Amino acid sequence: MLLALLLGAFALAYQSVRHVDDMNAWVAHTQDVIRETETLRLARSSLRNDFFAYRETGDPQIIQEFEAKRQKIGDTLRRLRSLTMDNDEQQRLLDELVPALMKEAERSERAFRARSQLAGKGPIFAEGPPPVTPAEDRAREMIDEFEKTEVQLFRTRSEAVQQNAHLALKSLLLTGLLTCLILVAAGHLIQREMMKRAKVEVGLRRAQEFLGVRYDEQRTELDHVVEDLHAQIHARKSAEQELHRLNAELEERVESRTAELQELNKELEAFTYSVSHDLRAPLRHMDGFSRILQQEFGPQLPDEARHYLDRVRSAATHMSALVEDLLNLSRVGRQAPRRQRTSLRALADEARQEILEEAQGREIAWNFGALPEVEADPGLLRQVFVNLFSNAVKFTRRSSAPAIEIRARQENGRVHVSVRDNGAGFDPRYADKLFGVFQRLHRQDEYEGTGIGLATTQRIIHKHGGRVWAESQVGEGATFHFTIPAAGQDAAALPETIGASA
Amino acid sequence: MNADEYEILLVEDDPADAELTKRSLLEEGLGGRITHMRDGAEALDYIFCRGAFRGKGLDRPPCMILLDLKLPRLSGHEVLRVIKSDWRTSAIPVVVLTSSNHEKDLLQCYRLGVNSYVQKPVDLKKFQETLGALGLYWLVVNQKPPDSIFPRAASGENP
Repeated sequence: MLLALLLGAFALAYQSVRHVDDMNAWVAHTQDVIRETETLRLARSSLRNDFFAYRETGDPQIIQEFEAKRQKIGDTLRRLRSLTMDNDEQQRLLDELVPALMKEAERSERAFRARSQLAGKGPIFAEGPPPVTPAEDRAREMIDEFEKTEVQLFRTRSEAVQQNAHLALKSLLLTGLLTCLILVAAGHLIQREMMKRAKVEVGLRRAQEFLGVRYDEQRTELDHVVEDLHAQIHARKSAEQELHRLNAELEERVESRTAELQELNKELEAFTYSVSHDLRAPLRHMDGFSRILQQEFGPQLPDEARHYLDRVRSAATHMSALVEDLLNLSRVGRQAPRRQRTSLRALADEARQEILEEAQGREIAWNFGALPEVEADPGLLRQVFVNLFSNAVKFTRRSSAPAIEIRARQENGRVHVSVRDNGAGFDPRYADKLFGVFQRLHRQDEYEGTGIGLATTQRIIHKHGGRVWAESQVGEGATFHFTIPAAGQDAAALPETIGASA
Repeated sequence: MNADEYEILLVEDDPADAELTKRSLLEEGLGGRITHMRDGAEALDYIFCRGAFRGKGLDRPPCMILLDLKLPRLSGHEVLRVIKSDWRTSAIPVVVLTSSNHEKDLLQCYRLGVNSYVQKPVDLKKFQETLGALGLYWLVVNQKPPDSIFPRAASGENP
């Protein structure tokens, strides 16, 4: 707002100054007009004086000057006309004045010409100055009036200029005042602004200092964090390297261990082969030659000698059985079961046939329930039945009416098989010992055996992902149970799977 | 059956086993002509009339070869392979008589073309019975291949 006012005031002052300039031009103009008017007046008066002088003296010099003076009047009039082109009143006066003055000049000329005819006749003495004609008066008045009009115009204009000058002064004063006000206000504002800025600067500096401290703190903290991170990365890297190293080492170890195991396996293979072949040969010889001795010289031998020969032969037979069973156990441990759909019934029948030879014609009541198909290695499962039946036959040796019962039922994708006899039974406290290698619950002279059959049985069942257990009371027979995947079942997918690698 | 009409070739390194086998064969009435060779190399020399047996080896094919597997020098497997891969001897019935019931041995022998595989029972009685059954089958029941396919050993031809 103030600025707009200021601008207005300045504009006004500027306008006034422009007016003053205009006025100066006008003053010069008026002076010109007045000077020209004066020139005109002087020229006219001079012409008039010359007229009278010539009439008096007839001096030709005067006539010579006359033309120049008339010329001068004409020039002056023309200048005046051009100077007062803007004023109608003066133009009108000039319109009137020009012919009047022309007439005057012509009259003078005529008078000169008339006088010249009297030339050389000496001065003509006149009867005083000729009376002033009304036309002359009129011309003089018009010149005066022309001058007066100009003066009047000048006055009017100078008044206007003065008024303008006043206005300009006032507006300049106002402008100055306003400027002062604005300056003061601006100064105040600037001061306030400066103070504010100073305050802000102080605040900023403090903030900067504070932030600087904070920055330093955080920087330090960050440095620590970065260091920690580096340390962690380093630690992780070295851990990884360590891991790689350990892995490599482990792999190496696994490789060497595998090689060792393969070597061992080979040795074991060679060993079992050797056992099966070489260990049996001497046993065969022991048995064979003992028998030949009995056959050839039996009648000549004392009873005691025959008895000892019997001992030798039974020891050879027992050792042969041990070798056979151990070989079986080791074979079961080494080979993976070749599972296929297998008929339990067929296997059980085969096993019974094999066992019947051992039963030596004893009367045994065999009772087969419904036996389903299972998913198993038939050779191995057949051996399970042989072992269990063999036990049942053996331990019912002293029963009055030996009976062996085989039952099977399906549950959760498995077949649960039980082989029950009414034989000697065993003390249930030792039930967990039954399946250990060389573990026996009966004395050799009661019931012969190697103590390997049930261990082999357990190994076979575990290999099939099944479970085997036994229950009994002394004198009340024994029941052996095992589970095996039913036909079409994947052993690994069944619940309650017992470690198959046992 | 006349003892001169047939020959049984026994290849066995163990003298006790050889004695028991011979005795059992005699007990079973198969004591005709039993030739005993104590290792694989000797057996092959005898069969092909070479080496120590040049000119005094087999003059006609034996009715049966009883072959142990575990033999010094050349094993039973190698002897079996040579016999079964030579057109002159491949028709001779070979019975492997061994302590081993090892699956690997069984398979290998059958693949080499053995005619029978018998595990020696520890029980002498059973052993005797087994040999009796073998003799009965290969010497009596079975028709032996014609002698004409067997080259005269005296020819000294080496395989």
